[in-house]
Amino acid sequence: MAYPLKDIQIPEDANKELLIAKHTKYLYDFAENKDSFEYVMTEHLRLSGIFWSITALDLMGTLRDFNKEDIIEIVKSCQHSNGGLSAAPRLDSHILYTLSGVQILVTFDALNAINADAVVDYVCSLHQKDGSFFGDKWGEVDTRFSLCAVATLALLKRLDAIDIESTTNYILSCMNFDGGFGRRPHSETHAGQVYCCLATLSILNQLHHVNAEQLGWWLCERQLPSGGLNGRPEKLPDACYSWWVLTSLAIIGKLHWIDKDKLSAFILACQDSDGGIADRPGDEVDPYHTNFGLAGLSLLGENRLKKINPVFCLCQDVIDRLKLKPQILDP
Amino acid sequence: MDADLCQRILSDLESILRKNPLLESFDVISSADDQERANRSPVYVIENHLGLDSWCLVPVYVAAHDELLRTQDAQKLLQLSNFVLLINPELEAGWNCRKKLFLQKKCSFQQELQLSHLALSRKPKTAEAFFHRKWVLSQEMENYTLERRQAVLHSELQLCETMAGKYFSNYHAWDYRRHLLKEYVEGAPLIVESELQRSKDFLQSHVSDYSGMSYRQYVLLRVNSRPLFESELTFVSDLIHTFPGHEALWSHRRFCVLANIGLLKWAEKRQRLILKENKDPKRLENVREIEQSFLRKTLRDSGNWQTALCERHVRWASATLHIDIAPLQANGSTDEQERPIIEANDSD
Repeated sequence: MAYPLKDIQIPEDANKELLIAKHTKYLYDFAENKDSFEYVMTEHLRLSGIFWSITALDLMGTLRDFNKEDIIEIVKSCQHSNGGLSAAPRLDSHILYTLSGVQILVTFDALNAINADAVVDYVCSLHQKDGSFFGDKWGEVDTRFSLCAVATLALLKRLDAIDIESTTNYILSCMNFDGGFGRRPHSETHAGQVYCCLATLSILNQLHHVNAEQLGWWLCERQLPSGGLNGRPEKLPDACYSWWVLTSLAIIGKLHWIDKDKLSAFILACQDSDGGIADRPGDEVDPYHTNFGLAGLSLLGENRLKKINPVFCLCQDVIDRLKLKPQILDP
Repeated sequence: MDADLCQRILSDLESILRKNPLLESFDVISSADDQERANRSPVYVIENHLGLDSWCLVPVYVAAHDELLRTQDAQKLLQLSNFVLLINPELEAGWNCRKKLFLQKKCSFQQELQLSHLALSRKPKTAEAFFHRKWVLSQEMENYTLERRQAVLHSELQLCETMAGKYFSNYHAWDYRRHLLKEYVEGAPLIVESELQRSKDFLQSHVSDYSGMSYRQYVLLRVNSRPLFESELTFVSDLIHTFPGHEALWSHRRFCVLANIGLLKWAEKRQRLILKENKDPKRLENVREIEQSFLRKTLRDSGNWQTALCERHVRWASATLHIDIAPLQANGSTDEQERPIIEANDSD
């Protein structure tokens, strides 16, 4: 009988070596190419796109030639009078891009480029009575926004500005019977949301609420025979879940529950010979998958990459410089 | 492309949207040859489907996107955002612009539903488009009569069903459906009953779609009846045997097991797993027997992947309920981290 296992087969001629020079060139070229239709179509992601690129380069130790001053200017120009940042100067402020902007600036040690007090006010203005956060003034709620709020405040050393108890309780209200978390109360468990919720609890030092055994199993079950990880049952493996799932396991001290060699081989196979990482072997590459693929390899202990911090998705030396110590459960 | 042509295309689109309130879908079509191009507008309707010739997509989008972020003119904003959002519904700034226009009464409830519906018909998992619907409903529904609210609710549930059918495990479609049930079911109890049936029908024909099952779990917990949980366990058992190797069904089974022994309860507005309060040994023993006999039957005729899923079920029961449901002794091993509980090809 045929079994409907949704997985891929890694081609025999797939890449097995980490292509640092190629990825570096790919990301530098990508940043230069501003005439394409794709560039116009992705304006609404711009600051996050920059964050993915510079984090990937920082991990590879090849960030130094990147145009730091220009980037800082861009981030600066994205801050609005309400204190929030938008993905690009003429778009509307949103908590997602507020975090991306702050992550970029702390990487360059340039937080003074923006009005940090105004950012704090903006984040607080989105906090709701039940502990959830709006993404912007229009009122969508999502546990991703909780992480954006809490991580932004932590990087600015202003966690005192919000009520931690209600923030924690909202996250816990999104916990499901499988130990995982969804977007909102009762939403399906999703590995990306699991990461957001765990990272929020970690920053707030509240990880004791998590059922690490049970959640650990659910996360391990994301690994498919190809070695790749998916984000939900019966979805295809995707290199970006090498980050969302793996870092969730790292936060709850269960990183060793996964087959590291097979996962590593999967991520390496997602590399394009011309640089960049795709969701699956042979697909189109982009900075998003490049960053999260590399971040996954860093967590797996790849020694040609700098160490990544599992909670903030920034190089560990950045987090050390800020003297932040987010909670990680013991194995 | 010259500005006049671009403007003509935007105007054509606007007038088509106005004249055809019942459009079902939108897509970009790459068929037009040169002669066809010369003879007709690149925006057209065929049997309630809206089409756009692909040759004009890039130039019109680039121009419209740019102007959308610059102009203040309400009439222009409407035309520009129609085009931009049909092509790129992830552009939150576009929906924000529509929300402002809506608050200024420059566009109607129906127009917003139409535009976001057409955008979703091409990109059925777009969270921003679902949120736009959620937002316009929150603005309008309380002003409506019960009858009208129910009509909207029915068509929104239908839209969710359509989008769930178009894209596998469509997280945002099911999340929106759950939102509808939470917010708008008051005064319409029969809706929950019918959702119970519809989610069952969907599950039966989409045995790998866990998002649909997760929604069904929400409906089941809302009804919260013991006989219902029991029959669901039987239902999922049959499906697992008929469609072996579907992880989603096994995940749903976990829910059924827990719900069946009363370990899931509706607390603080969420489905919570309460283990300590309610660890009735009799019920656990009952679960052990049921699951063990189920696994024995399942393993009798199963290939590697189904066997792996059986193993996971055993491991899950052990981690969650601290009971051993393995039908075969696993060398008495209690080391739960490494062990393959059942060898891949073993069966009764």
